[in-house]
Amino acid sequence: MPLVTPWSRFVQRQADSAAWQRWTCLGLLAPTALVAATTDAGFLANLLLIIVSALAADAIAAWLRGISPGAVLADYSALSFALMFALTLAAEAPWWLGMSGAVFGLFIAKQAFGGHGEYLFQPLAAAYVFTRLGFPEFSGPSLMDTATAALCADIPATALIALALLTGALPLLILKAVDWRIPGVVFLTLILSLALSRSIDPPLWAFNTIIFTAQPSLLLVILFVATDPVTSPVTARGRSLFALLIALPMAVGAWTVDLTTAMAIVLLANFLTPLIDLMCRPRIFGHQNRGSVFLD
Amino acid sequence: MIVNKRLLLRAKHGAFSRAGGMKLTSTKAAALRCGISSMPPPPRLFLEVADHRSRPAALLVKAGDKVRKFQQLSRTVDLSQAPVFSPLSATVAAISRDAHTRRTTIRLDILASDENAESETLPPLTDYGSLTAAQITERIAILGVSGLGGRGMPVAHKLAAAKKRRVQQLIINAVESDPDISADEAMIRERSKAVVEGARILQRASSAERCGIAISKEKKAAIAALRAALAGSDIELLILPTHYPLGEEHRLIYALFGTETAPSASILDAGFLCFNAATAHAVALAVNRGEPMISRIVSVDGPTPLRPQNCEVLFGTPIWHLLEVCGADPAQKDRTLINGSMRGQLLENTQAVVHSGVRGVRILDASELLQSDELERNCINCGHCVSACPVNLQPQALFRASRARDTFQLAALGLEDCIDCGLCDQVCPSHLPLRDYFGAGRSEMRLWQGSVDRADHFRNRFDAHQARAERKLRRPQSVALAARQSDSKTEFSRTSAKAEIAAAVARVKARRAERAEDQGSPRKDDD
Amino acid sequence: MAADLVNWIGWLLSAALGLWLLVRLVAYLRLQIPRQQALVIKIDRVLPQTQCGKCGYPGCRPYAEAIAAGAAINRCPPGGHRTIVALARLLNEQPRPLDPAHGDIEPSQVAFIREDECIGCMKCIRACPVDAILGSGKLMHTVIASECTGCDLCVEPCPVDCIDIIPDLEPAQVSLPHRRVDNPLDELEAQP
Repeated sequence: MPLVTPWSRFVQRQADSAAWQRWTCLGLLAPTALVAATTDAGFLANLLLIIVSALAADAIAAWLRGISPGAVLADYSALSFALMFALTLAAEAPWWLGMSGAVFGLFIAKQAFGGHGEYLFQPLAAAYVFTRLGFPEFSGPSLMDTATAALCADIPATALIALALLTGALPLLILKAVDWRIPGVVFLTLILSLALSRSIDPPLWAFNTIIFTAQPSLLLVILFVATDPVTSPVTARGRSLFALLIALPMAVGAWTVDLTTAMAIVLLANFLTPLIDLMCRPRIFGHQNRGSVFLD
Repeated sequence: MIVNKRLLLRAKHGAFSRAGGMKLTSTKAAALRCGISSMPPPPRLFLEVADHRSRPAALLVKAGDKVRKFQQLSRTVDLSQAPVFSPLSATVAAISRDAHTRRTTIRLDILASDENAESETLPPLTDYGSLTAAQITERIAILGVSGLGGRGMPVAHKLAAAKKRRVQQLIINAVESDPDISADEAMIRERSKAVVEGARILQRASSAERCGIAISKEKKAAIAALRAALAGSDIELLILPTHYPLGEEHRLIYALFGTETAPSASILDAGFLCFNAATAHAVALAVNRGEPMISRIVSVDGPTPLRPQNCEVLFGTPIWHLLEVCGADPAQKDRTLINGSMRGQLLENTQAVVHSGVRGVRILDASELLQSDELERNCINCGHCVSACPVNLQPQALFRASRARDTFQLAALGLEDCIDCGLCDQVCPSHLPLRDYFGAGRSEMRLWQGSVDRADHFRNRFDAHQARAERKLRRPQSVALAARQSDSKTEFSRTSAKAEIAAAVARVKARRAERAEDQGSPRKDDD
Repeated sequence: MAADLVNWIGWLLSAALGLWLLVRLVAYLRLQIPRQQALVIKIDRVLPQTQCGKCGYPGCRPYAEAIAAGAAINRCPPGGHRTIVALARLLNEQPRPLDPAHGDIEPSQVAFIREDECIGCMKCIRACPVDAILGSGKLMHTVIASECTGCDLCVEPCPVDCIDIIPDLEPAQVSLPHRRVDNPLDELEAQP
């Protein structure tokens, strides 16, 4: 019997997860273009290799699992992973580093855990930490942060890239593909801790902290990596708690927090997501208890 | 489990976002424009009577009989099944029973000639006020009035259950929060007096302290009609905002009175009783005019050339006949949806008929169908389903548990409280067929409960067997038993019996050896 | 002097904490005995009660006791995958496929005596653990299908091999609305 499901004409916006991923890829095009404009052709070559190896890794993993590779690639998650991953690479990364990171991230951190929607750790964060900690000789600051050329007037390239990331994340927030609470709580906590420290330190420190928060690499983490719905809790309260768990170490670390530290913080928070989900269950209508996946 | 919260004033008119549910765009305008249309009676009606308590229906007619309009066709033994009446003068052409669906179908061939010869079951009443509540309930039971809200429970059965408890508030549900069904609204616009009459009768029959008619804000013409009909009466008109699924009785009560009742429990436990507005109308017809329930209003919708309308349809009308009369294209038979897009089912049996549970019929547009060969996507934990669920369940966890067939997890997560509103299904960005999964989950739970009951039954029998064996061991050999063993009165000789047994055993051994040769294993198998 | 006092307070607090922990431990251990018994009852409730012995134990209650003591949960063919999942949830374990050494998953089945061949020897009646066979010496035997668990303990003792095991009419499968036709996990999930 063919499974026929009626589309909904009554729900205001019929959401589509593949469309969300496509918006993510679209939103990442501008930062990628800006980064490409500030570096040499090596970056584009690296990007191409990463894209190819990401798609291949996903497809091969799907084939090994017995699922149609076309279906797995059709959700565009490998492509968005590749685009984000390329942005996080250091300048001195060789051609094989990006490819091995992509294979690790998709093959092991994503497909081995069960595929899209079933992974515990955000694949990008896992792949990034793998390349940085596994090959420390190639760990410099990412290309986004070291873009020194001024692209137009006196605005530094990093500011433009940060702006591009913000605008790229906007469609996702509007479509509710990602929950606004996660970046919202993170920024709020950072600003509050900034306000707290402002009363202690001279005002110039505040300015530096804003500059620090607006680093493109941190924005990438807060807007694209931490907000991944698969690895964040499913309730609103849970997400706020999750965001707090990410923001507090960042606030405490202040400007010692770089991209690697931020990714590691996200990974730790991912690890705690099931626990947060367990603690923040909604109370079932008409009952005193909350719906649990455990028998008690 | 019932939780009484303080009355939430906000719940009456304000934000429902925290309580789940959604505001849906409605497509009822086209159908409502035409009012209630009637259709010519079809040439054949198929009335279905389900088995009751594992027994086939007890029929009062047989094939070849001529029946008159309103004549009773089936007999019932208790209140939980309503009798079936003939909607028109007809001949009983055939009676068939389907053992698989456990239903008896009576095929009636309509007689065009004596359309007007009626068979009254009961004389009309001018004033039901002289009857007691029990007498009114009995009259409703005799005339077979069933609920028209979708579940089809006989009204008398519900009233009998309510009699054991004190009903504080009777609610006549005219909310109809489905975005594409407008049958109740069309009926109220034209027949509000009968609805109010039915409300009064039901209040008397259930001895409810208060009575109210709940309706949603956007049904302006219906509200005006009800206001006119309610003038001077002490029945309240309760107006709710337009929100899905406020039509569901548990959510309705919470919105009106702030009392939470679990959907898996009955609202009667909290002192509420709820009937659909169309049911109230049918009750008024039954009690006042003595007419049994033979028809209902069905919302028909679909793409052109179908004309969307609310049609008064006799029970037993084939659904596809109804759709063709409204102008549908027969080539679209495999895209018929019953009871709306949110809670409805795709019609698999194209010969299905209209019964009391069919509120709306819709033909899906080609653009409305998700591709059937699309491979299933993964749940990405986006949480849209959790925020949409009006019962605060976690549909994504329920989905995973249904897929794993984990009945314990399903029970712990509260699948029994799911009201099947379909919101999670519609908002899911991965287009997961969540309602279908939950249906499979419910079936699993039912099967598991069935196997647990079976196991309990077997355990009891085993314990009885053990007890009996123990008693037998302890009991000394009785004289009678010894006598029986040496009884020579039987013609059966021991020696000849032994010979026969030996012969049979030899046959069996030969057969077993044969089979062992064939299969190479000594294990016996069935044929 | 103050140091001594602090020392004393420290000792007292530690002793109090130790005592409290000891009391809790004893209470917990004492709770385990009825919990263990309750666990056996819970496990027994989940088993299908066919009393067939295919698990290697003489009945469902002995198997329940063995499971509570640590036996494998995947030894019951009449229970099928559902029972294994239920036991896994009860004991907080992972569900496993049925142990093939104890048989294949059987659909719901009942015994049927071919009456032409029955000789009235009562051997099957004695073998039936739930007394589901009606009959007496030298009289016809017949299986009451609604009471038969399908354990097939009656088949072996019959000297004329006139008992068949036939599938019951009740379907025990629920199909999921899968559109993912090539996922190997589905086969495991499709078991009854």
